[in-house]
Amino acid sequence: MNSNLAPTCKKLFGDYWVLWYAISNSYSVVSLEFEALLDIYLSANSYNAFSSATPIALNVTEKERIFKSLHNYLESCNQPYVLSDKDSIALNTAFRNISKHYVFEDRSIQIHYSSESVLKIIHPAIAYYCKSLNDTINVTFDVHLYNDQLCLYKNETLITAVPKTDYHLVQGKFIMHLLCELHDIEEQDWIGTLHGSTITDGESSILFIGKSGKGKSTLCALLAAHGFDLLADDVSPLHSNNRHLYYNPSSISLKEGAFNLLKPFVPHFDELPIVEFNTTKGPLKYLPSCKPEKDHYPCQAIVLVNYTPDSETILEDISVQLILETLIEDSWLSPNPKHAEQFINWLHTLPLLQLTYSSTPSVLSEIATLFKQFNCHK
Amino acid sequence: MKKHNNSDKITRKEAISKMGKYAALTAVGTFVILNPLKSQAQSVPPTPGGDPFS
Repeated sequence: MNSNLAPTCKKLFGDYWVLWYAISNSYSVVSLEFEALLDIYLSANSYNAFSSATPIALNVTEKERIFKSLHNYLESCNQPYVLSDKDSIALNTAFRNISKHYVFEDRSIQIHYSSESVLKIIHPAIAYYCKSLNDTINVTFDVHLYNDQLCLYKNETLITAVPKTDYHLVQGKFIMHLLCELHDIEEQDWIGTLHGSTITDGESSILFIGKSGKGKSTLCALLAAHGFDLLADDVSPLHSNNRHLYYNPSSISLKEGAFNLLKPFVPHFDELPIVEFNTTKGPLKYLPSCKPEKDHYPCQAIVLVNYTPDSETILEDISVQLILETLIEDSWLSPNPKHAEQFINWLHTLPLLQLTYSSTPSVLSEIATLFKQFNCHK
Repeated sequence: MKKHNNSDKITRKEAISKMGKYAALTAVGTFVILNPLKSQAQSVPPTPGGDPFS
């Protein structure tokens, strides 16, 4: 039955299959039973062939129901992946109302913003690198709000234009291009930019994931204040050539609920400016941290952060389904089949863990032990 | 990219042979389809709203 609807690649993770469909760039996590039935469906060339090949005592209605479910599933997985065309909006240099200059090691970046509110979208996370203007500029970005469209340009060429309420898309696109500049890597050489924060001990790294507001940035800020280094906050880029996670210079963004927790560990915490972004996030502080010694590190585990008041510290295995349900929909993953296969294979090499905690000293100790275990196994 | 090696076939055979009616009917109702962002983005606030431009 239409074997061209079959997944492009797949891999078994314990009790689950992870499937990927190139036409839609969709990932799917299914049980062993589902995959077995799917295989029968795809191998059969008619409903009758499917019906006879299904070795289970099902009546006609039940078989039809299964057949239809598999059909609908495949239809959903094979919806073509289409990027909407962006309208071309020419750069108007008259909108360069605020200009800032940033220096990242040996790279010098200039950004022109059309207003203060536009500046707040990009500047606070990289404010630490803002310096006075000097002569050498390696790349110029423009971020302009024009007719309710937020536009991002690089070297005067439009990269993206989105409705202003989708500002986070401009943030992400900007970070991607910044990372390309800093690491001399082309956009097409990334497997993806994962929604998570990465911590390193100088030898390897751990990717901490969790839905927005679940405490991964706070945990990483705590770890960064206790001897570990932050490699990336919120956007962790994964490179195709070496499957390493790379440095993202953005400062850690902290919500007000984390201020009291971090204040004892961060010198001059009170002097960090408060950024009022919007009413949903509330007041934010951006916490810069030292760049790790290297630009990239191999990842040794993915940890789902589960801050739970009054809980004990528990680090335990969890399913690939929970990991991917948390990770995929807020991450950008390349639609290139080579990268998708690399992503799945990379995932397969890693321990997938959930960290439940409430106590700071206890969680610090747990993570330190985890890193030591990785290093012992080398 | 499709790998139909022996261990996959054995796993599939085991799954089928152990699968009763209920398991089959439940299985086809429980799957997850996940779509990554089409364009790179940072964290979206848990509840949309709050216009940074107002």
